[in-house]
Amino acid sequence: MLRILLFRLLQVPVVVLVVSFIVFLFLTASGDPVRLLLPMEASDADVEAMRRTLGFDRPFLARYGEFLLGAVQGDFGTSLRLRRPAIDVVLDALPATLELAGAALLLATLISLPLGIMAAVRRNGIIDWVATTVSVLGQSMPIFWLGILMILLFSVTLGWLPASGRGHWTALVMPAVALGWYMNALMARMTRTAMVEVLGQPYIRTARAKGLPQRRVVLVHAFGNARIPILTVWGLQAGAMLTGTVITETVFTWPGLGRASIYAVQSRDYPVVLASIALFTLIFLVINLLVDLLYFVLDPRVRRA
Amino acid sequence: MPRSLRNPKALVGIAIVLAVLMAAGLADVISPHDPFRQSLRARHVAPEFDLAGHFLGTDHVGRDVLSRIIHGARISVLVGLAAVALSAVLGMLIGLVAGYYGGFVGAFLMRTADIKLAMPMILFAIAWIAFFGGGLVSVVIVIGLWGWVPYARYARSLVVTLRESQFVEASVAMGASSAAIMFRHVAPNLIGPLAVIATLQMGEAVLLESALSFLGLGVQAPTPTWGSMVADGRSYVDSAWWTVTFPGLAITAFVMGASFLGDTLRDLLDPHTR
Amino acid sequence: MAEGGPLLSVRDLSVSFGSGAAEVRAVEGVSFEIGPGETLGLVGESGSGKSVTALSVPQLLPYPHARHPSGSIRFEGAELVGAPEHRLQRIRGNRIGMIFQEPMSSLNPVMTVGEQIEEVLQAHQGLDRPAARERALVLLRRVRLPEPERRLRSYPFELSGGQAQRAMIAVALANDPRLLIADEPTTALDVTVQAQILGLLRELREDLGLALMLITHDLAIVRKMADRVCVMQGGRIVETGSTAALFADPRHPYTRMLLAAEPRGAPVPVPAEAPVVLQAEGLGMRFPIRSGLLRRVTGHVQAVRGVSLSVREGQTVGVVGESGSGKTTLGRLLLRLVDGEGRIRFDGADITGRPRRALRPMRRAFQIVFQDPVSALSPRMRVEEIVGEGLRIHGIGAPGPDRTARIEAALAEVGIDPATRRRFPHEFSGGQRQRIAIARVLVLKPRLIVLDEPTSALDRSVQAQIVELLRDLQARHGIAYVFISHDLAVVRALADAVIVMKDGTVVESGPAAGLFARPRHPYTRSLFRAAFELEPEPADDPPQGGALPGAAPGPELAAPPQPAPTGTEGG
Repeated sequence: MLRILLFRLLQVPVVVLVVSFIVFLFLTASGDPVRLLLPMEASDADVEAMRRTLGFDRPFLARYGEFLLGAVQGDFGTSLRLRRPAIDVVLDALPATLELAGAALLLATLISLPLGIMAAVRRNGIIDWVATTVSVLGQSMPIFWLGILMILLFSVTLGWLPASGRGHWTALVMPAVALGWYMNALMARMTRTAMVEVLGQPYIRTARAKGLPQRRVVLVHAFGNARIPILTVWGLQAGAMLTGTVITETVFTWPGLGRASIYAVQSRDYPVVLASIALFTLIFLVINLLVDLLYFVLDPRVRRA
Repeated sequence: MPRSLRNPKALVGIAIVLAVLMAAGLADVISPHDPFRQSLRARHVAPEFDLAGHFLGTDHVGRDVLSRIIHGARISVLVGLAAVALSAVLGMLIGLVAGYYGGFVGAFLMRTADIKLAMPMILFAIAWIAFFGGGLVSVVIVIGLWGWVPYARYARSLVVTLRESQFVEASVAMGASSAAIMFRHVAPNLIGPLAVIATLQMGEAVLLESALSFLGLGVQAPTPTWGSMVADGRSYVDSAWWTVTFPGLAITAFVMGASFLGDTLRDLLDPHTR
Repeated sequence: MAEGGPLLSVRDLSVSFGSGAAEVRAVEGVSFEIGPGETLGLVGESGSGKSVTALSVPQLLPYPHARHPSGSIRFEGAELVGAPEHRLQRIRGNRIGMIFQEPMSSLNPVMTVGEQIEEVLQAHQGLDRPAARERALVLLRRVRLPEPERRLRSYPFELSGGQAQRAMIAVALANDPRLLIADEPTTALDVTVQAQILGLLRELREDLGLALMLITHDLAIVRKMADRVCVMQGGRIVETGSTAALFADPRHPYTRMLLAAEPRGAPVPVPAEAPVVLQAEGLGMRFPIRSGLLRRVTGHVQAVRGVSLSVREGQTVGVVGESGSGKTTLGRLLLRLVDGEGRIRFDGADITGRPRRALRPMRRAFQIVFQDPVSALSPRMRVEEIVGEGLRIHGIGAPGPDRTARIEAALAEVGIDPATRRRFPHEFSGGQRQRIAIARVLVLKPRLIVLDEPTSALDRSVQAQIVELLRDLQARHGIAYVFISHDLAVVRALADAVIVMKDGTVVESGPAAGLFARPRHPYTRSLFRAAFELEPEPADDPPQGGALPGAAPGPELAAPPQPAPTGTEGG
């Protein structure tokens, strides 16, 4: 187990390194950002001067090395658009994203686990039908479409909730529901599948043969085992959930990391692009690390191996 | 008829996918209007129950929504098929190599898959398209590169399972060469499940394409795509709900149809439910 | 509760699965009784409905998918069919205990043994945690689990199969039930462990005055354990009676068939001048053990060490041993499916150092048949493709009618209708699939076949047929067999030389007749005792008495030595 954790920890810098290198390569290969930053009528001399101030006149590897050196100290350069340190731009946006993702995750977990468990226990029943429908719809409906329809209904027509922004808790409701709806679909489906699998195992028959109440058979014996594969798939879906976050933030103009990074990409603000990608990568590696730690807690076979 | 085809889910899935394929193929024939023709006088015409008129209304520059949805099917189908084909081939190759060689190479490739899953690929997609342009090819490449992991994992686990299986060992004992085993035992077991994954991934690819289009990073205007139609209609949602609702409905239906079809295929290929 | 009446009374019980056109009747009009302290054996082959009957008693079938179109089950005077769930819960695990075939998967993998015993005490007796823990410890001692204090905190994966079954028995007996239902309780266990578990069950039954409902396919176990027997076939009880009477005078043809199904007969004698087909010397195989953060190789497990054997044309060499003895690895080493130490000569030619590619053309002469006929046949290939695979690989015969003729001949020879050659494996029964697997190697006309537990996954009556078939083929073609099995009865019926393996080494070897009559090594003796203890005495019982010093007749297994023997069962 220690070995796996150590491996994960070592993986963090490697991944960040690889990711940043690829993105850096992208940025360089895609052309000269300096031209875009300066007005059309700028002279070649102006461009040259700008290039020198930004360091674009030096070789690729030297620039990458310098970037890395700065990055490990938290210095990703200065945002070309906002004229502030890029790291500050993304760190300022981080709390909003964590708030949105946390609320959505909480919502999705609270709905998907009971739904998935009940669907598996009463297979082909009404709840199973509801769970299947919810997960099919959740995985088929584009988040951006759902978001706009919600805005149409709750902001435009009914006027109950603000359509964008952040601050008051009411502003969080729609983005969290839209993102949570999508996560819930994935998670309810996984929970149901894992529970159906586990409920067919011989030890569930044993638990019933012991005369335990149904509640204990399902929650302790079945879910106690099913949560391990659920956790696995959950960890693997982390990437898909990020996609949802980026789109949700765009639809509701939520001032988070996703929106900040999309702005940065669109305006070729490469220090912010690099900083946000590094931060996203870090977040996901931390999630994976947490998943591994949870295995350690939940699965004695991992703990004692 | 096999039992797995006789349920409503299968029929709905097949019907939707066929309808979308037909719309894509016959778009020029069946669209009631020219999807590109603007009309300042016919802006935001509400849906009318008249097939000759604007059945699903018109958008902010007076283009017929229904015709644009029919033409938009082309992009969804094209991107869906091409991207899925790209990921399937890529994933299968990676998975086979990882499974066959095992050891260091296998571990390395599967680690790459792990890392890929942990990476914020949407940013890559956005970065790629923002820098290299958002043509059809870019969209296909990005989505194709996005989706290879499930194929690779399946192919690898299949090779590993088969290598341990007794019927493969029996072939080895009979003197079969590696190539013969690949062809006789691995390939037939690989094709069906990969087709299932591909069908299920099709929906995912269509969703991604629409998301990229929505963000303005997909196939460029004026080519109609479902995602960009939703994006265009977004600003007028308070006065013309139909410009957002119907293209979104088209995406939802197609993605759902593809996933139903995938489930049906899976049931069909599973020898136990056959 | 009805005083003096039967403890359990099952009347006209039927069980159906599914409904409408898809309805399958699994059990039909079954009636039996079990008195207090009585043991009833429910015998039948797979698909006879015996397990479904057993699960009906505590109403553990997957209702409402399963239904009882008719019947009543009265336990301690109360009706169980259709009883409300809360009443059944008070009976299950409390008045009726149950143990199952797969002890390992019957225990919850993420709960400790202690927790799994304690919870059943807490559920029915309302004990608090410490009291339950104390009682759990007593129970673990009762079922003779070594180191009970430590085992309380163990997880199932840290136990051996036998230990897990002991823990299951502790769970089942926690609340002093009146009835224990044991569904194939020893089928998944090694023969020596099986004997220990059966001994334990007998002892507990006597001490606790427990009634036992024993479900098994193994007549030998029933004969040893049961007071009365019900024989089931196709969902019905076809014969019932006291054990002694039924074994002495079986009435129903199916019972007679089952009794006759024990593998019989003797191996065909091999002429002394028969040429040696395979000769192996000093075979060995090591697997590295890795440990520590860097996964460095810190040691080796010697799966096989210094095994030599030779097989002559038409001869069968039996390789006997329990799980983990290295017998399967030996089979793979002999055919160079894995590479290890030692020298192998095939028909006089040294194949030890030969590159694998160069070995391929030779492979048609030495073949292997596996245990599990399900995974040994590719599910996506038709029978004719499976059987024809070797012909294609070795380019034997012209594609088309010639090959088809060979395939059909091979199928006919193993007793499969050649007209079925275009079907898929899942359309055949287990025994038929094993026949197809034999046809697949037979079509190559091999000189030697390694048979790796070829009968272990099959019903007893089917086993006997496969043994007959193998003997027949050997007599006709003079094929040499290396027959690997844990099943001594089958080996005795087929092998004329035997090697006994334990922990990777040969503990004893020699001609079968002498070895079965006078096992010399203590391990061989304990193995044989455990295996043949269940047979009708005195029949084949070797003269265990005086002949050899130290071969004192072992104590009846009902009283196993206090610390359960390690090595076969040690964690």
